[in-house]
Amino acid sequence: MPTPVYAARQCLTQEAATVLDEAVAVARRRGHAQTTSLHMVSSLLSLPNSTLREACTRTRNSAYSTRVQFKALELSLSVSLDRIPSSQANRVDEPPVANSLMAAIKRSQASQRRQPENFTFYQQQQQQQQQQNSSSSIPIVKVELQNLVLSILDDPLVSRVFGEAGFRSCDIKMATLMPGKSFHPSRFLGCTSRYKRPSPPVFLCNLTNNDSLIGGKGFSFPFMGCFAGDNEGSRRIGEVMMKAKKRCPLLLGVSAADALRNFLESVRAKTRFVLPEGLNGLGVVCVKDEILMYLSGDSDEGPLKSRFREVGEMLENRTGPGIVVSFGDLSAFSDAGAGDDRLRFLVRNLAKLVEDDHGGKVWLIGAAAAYEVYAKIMNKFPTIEKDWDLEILPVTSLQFSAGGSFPRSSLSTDLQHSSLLNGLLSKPTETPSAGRIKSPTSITSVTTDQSSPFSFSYRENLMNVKDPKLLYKALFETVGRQEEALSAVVEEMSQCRTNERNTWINFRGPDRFGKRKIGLALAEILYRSEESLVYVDLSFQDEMMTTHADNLFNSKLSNKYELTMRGTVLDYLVEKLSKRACVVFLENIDKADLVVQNSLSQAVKTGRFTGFCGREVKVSNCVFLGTTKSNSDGSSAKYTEEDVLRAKANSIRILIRFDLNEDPIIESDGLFCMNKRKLLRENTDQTKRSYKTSKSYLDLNLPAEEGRELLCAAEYSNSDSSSDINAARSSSWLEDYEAQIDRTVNFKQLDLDKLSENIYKGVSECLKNAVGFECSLEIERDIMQQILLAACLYGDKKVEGWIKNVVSEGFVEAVGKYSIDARSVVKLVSYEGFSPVEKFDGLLLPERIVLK
Amino acid sequence: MGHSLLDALNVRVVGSGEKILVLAHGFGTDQSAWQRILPYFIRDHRVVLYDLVCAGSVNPDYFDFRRYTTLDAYVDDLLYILDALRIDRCTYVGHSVSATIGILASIRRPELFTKLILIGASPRFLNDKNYHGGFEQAEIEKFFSAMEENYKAWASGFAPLAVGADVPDAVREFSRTLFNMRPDISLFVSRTVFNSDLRGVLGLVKVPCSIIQTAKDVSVPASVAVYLKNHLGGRSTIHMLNIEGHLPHLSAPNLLAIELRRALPR
Repeated sequence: MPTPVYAARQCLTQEAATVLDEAVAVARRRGHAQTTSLHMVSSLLSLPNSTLREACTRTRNSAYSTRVQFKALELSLSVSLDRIPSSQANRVDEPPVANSLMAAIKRSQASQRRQPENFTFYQQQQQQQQQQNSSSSIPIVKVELQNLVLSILDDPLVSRVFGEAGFRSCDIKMATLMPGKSFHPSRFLGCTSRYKRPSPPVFLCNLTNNDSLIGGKGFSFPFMGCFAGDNEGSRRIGEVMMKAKKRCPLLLGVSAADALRNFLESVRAKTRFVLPEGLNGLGVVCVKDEILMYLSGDSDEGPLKSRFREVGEMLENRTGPGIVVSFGDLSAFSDAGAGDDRLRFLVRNLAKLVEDDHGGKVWLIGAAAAYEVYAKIMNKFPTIEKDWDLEILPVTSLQFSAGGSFPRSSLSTDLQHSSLLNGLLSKPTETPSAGRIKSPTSITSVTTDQSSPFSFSYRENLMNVKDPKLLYKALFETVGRQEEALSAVVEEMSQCRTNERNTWINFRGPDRFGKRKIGLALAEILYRSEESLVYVDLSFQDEMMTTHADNLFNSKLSNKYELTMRGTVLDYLVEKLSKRACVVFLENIDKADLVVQNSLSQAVKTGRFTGFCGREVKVSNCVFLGTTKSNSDGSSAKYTEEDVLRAKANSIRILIRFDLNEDPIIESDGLFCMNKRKLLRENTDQTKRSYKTSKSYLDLNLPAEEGRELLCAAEYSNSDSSSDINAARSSSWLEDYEAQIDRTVNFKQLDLDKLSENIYKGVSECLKNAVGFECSLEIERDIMQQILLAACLYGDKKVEGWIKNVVSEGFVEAVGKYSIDARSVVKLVSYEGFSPVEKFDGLLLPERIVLK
Repeated sequence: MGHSLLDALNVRVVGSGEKILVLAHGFGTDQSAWQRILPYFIRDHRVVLYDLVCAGSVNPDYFDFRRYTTLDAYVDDLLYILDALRIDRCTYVGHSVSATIGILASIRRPELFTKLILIGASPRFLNDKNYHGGFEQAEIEKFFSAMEENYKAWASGFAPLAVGADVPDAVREFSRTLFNMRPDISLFVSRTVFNSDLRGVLGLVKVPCSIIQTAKDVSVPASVAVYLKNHLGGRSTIHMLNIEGHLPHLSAPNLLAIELRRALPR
């Protein structure tokens, strides 16, 4: 809740209140709804004899002229002000004070109250007030302008504005504090207290030759501008070395090796203030490489010994506090390929260095990435900690890592800033920060968000899509038939993929799995993963009614709406669409209820989807595939899609009979075989009948009456009782819908009879190969349907392969077991697994053909 | 700061008893976060409470941006307080960043601690090869820039997420303390926290630890608790709380208090 201006004014001194008034005026002029810290900055800079401007002048970057840098500041401020949404319509006379600015006022109140010289004053005032007026308990602290400026500079937005013009808030604060010594700077600003004024302000440009302050490329605070180098770590190492005992540091931690390198570098570079006084002039000897070579067996102890001698000589020749010997990463010791003898030699010799004769003037130092590495060495040399006089120093900060785990290191941001500054001189409008502006809609839009990994891969794949031949090839590989439909889809896709709109296609006609496979393939091709297919069946097919084939297909879908989910289909779609672009598969779109229909029509027109709860999402770059079933034309085909889709996954068994008119001669159990056949026939008849009866069903999960009322004539069930009005409405909507969308693609009836002939041919070929001559083959209807379904789902190739491998293996086995001659009839029948051992595994193409 | 550190960090000792319990709050809260846990322990413990230097309840002037660049400085503060109070043995309960601080303190001065109880602790938040910390670098950068952009908006968005459970009081309380922090300090501290990696040093902890982890925590995946247990050098146990959120002391104080009781050394 913003604060009314008069309330904010009460907290300010006269001088500060004038600034606030001016800021309010700026906000009003620009039609902004609130007065923010940015307006305050604008007001502060425009004041005659502005203290802020004056402070900036004193801290300004010497690399640029005053005029240029103030120009940059003006531009960066006006860009930031432009970003605040403005409306001329709802102009307020006094835009109230924004929370962030009010927080700054409160912060300055608090800090003013804390100042020791003021403390007694406010206490007295409080007492006086209590005497005068018992009801008001807290005295209002009137904020002085200077304090207010300091607080406003804490606001990250303000810091950024100054930062982009090459100013550091930290320095401006110091400069603001300098003229009037009303309180002690070091107490107020801990971060700058160690800076020795009156040295010039620290800027990147005058620091380039000064490694000590830039230090490691570790992180620094982006807008505070203090170089929080990694001296802290080096200081701790120094502290350990100053101890009388346990004075050799072993750095332990993921980035210990970096910390070690950093420390040695700063010792070599003689960086001041890193080490305690007593260690100034420390020498460094690194024996890491010699150790590695010695332990790997690449060299003998010669080089190592000469380095150790070197240490002795150095000690004699120099006067400093001594020498630190780095043995590098301890993992070299634990992974050593060379025998334990070499390791023992090394450990003993390093121990000698710290022991006696050098009078405590030699230190060892090393690093290990994890405690486990150290523990391994400890197991081999239990006394190593004492022998080497080690103290373990945990290193837990990643800031040592040389690459900088934070991409926005101080270095890069500052360079960015200075380049911005340069850019401002030539082209004032093209600021990098302007690119960061986000319109409110782009947050929900799935496409404008450049940072999402999807948009990148999509752009790459655009190439695929633009080449219709490649796209067709890819689609045909997965679908395998429906050539005409595929070319229509390809044509449409390559047409409308050019801009960032959506593609709407409706699939009409039979071949349910062909359509679904196109959906999956498009998701894979366009968005790199089948997970990008969002599947919704708008007929709300009951779980009870889903066939085995459906279950097999559904298992491939990772984003499928279930009735058991919370929220409506629309909410589900809105949620999915707000995440990323995808292929939306709307099965049985003609069965959609009124609400969904309206929503779809609206989405086609506007590209916006509205959920049931009113949540809206702007959609682009998505593909919407609707499907409508055609009523079966009552063709005389032997195998129909409807039947095939209902096929179950049976175990398949080979039966061998003789083509005689007499009773069948069967090696195994003849009686069973007869009964079994009868049984099977009855079974199929029964199932056929049961399908007919179950064609109409009621969805018990849905409230019948309420649902109807709520969604007008929402039609949830396929029941035969559905009124003609509904059907008519639905079909007229569908006509409208198809008129609006990009394309309607017709699918052809699958020629399952032809396919079954091919399968029969393939199997009999196998049989011929196994037996060596032609003999009759019968494939039970159930089994043929099962294989046909497999062909629909997995493609003809997979079925061919299966026949060649599994079926033919079964035949070969049968030939070995039973005598087959020209009169034999070989049958493939379903087998319901009488023995409990052979369990049904649900595969359409079983891995083994049962023989019995 | 010197002598005034105890004042600066609002150190309080409440309750009576032989045993000493230190309650250390995490990022975005201050010692008030423990107020509903406190009654369960003051009868038989002397409870030490303090504020981290980054807390909103501490004068921001004390926050030295050059000193608090790593968690070691926070460890210094903790050890200073314990020494100043002449505590030679205590049980330490640390939440979030304070759990990490406790781990580091116990490495430096193992004799000080009978036990560490770590709530919502993580040795490293960033994912790495073979390690799931829960955050990708890019996510964290987004997190930081959101924080920088508009602290208030960030805080009010982050609070319900962190509290997780549907407890409006807890969200309000966490939002309050989170927003009390000065934005720049808050950002600096979270950078420090995300910049820490304790995985290599966990083996140095010899003090027994109890790891308290909620079933769903936006900041710490449950696998991290297992990682901690497997890598901490001392005897350690995991106590799973069947609730959601990173701040069980705010969202489910009773449950947490019972679990803390269980975890306390007998």
